[in-house]
Amino acid sequence: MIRSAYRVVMSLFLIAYLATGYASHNRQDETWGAVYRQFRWMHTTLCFWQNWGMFAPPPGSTSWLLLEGKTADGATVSIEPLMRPVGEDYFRWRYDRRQKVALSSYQKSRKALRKAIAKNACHRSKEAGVPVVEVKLIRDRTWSRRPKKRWADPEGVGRKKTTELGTFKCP
Amino acid sequence: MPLSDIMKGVRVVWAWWVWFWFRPIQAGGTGVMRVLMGVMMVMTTIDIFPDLAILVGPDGIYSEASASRGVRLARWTYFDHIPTMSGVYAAHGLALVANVLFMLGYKSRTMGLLSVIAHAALYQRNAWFMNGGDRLVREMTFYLCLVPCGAKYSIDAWLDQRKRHRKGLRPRGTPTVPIVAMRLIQIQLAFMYVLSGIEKWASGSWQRGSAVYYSLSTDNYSRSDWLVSPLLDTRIGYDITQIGTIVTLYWECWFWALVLWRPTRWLALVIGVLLHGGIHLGLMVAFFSFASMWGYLAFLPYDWVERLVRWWRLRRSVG
Repeated sequence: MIRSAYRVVMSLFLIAYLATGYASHNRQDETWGAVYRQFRWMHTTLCFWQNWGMFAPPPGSTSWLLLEGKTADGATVSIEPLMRPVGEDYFRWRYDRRQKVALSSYQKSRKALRKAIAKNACHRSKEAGVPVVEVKLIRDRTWSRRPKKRWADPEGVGRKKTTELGTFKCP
Repeated sequence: MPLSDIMKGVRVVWAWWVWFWFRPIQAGGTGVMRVLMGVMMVMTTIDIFPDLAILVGPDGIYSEASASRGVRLARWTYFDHIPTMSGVYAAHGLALVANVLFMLGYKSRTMGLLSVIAHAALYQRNAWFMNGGDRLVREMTFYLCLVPCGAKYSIDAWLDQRKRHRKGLRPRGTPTVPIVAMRLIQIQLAFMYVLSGIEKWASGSWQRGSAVYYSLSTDNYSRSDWLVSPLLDTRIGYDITQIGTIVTLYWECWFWALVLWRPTRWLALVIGVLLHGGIHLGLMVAFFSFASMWGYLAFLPYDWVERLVRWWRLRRSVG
């Protein structure tokens, strides 16, 4: 009896769960869109997203997020970034989750994330004894070189660009 | 059509459905997979400890960012109700305890579910520091918890045997579990690869064969500049990355078919191990490679652990 009940309940779960996974990639379709809206909680509650576009497209550049603060008397100070740029001959054992946050912040639509990073930078700067009134986020980007250019000059550096991502007042 | 024929058809379909999703398999494979997944869970939780304050702490980078990402539809996280850093450390410490108990197999399913909830709570607090590997770990752990994953190689199994011994009962025979967890792991991996393959197919650099070159070129993801420079600085190295790009693209798109057909299953899994080994060596992807390769265990014969144990015992007795 218990085994039959387990099978029936589990079957209903499986059908809904798998259908939601499929529907999450066919949301534009009328039927699958309705299925997704009805059952998306099965994926969103425990964050079982089915987005797997890793490295598609691959990154074409290296970016570092720099943080610049302004004190009450107008002086500019640099704040410890989420992750420092790597130097020559580096080797990393550990996946750097702070860098993941920084990489996520470059997309134009993610202003809320940039604001959160700035707010945290204000806090860290205050903790370090250098209170700032505003924080500027800067993206320091270096494009990867095309293969032929790299073979011709392995020590060379790709095109560089520095972009301001916004200035945020400290709370 | 007479009702009896319809009922007969329903019974045939149900019998197939039960065979596909619920037929019993020996519990050794699930037990080993639980231990290995537990190790990954423990390592993930430990790995996050040093950055806990900045990632999820009360003064860290958190709710505003996550809330605007879309998880607001089902947003919940106990971290929102913990105002102090010591409380955050305590909550994360308890998650680590759940991870360890899941790995050791004490109240395996409960501890597994608690581990998934703790992992999801981190994501709900700050979605931006987690990657696909974390998601895979969370999903795979959940699938394991749908079956009695502590039936073997666990404290639960040991306690059960001890209890039976005390009561004077005979030890349990070879424990079995429903196949449903293995099926979900198989489907999850096949679905993941085919989606990834489709997205890569639409990308020019994957079509041109330069995607692996560019992936390794960025210092944001590369594990080591000196480790990948032989591949990036020379023509022959570039040719190798081109082969890697094409193999990855086609293998991801057709993984589902290759594992479905028994003669090509081993080929698909061996290519997968080589690719994921290469990815882990060259790129910083956290536990993504390990979690993917862990999933390959679901494609092995379902009694692979029992066979291995039998072979080992036979070898020892002969020796």
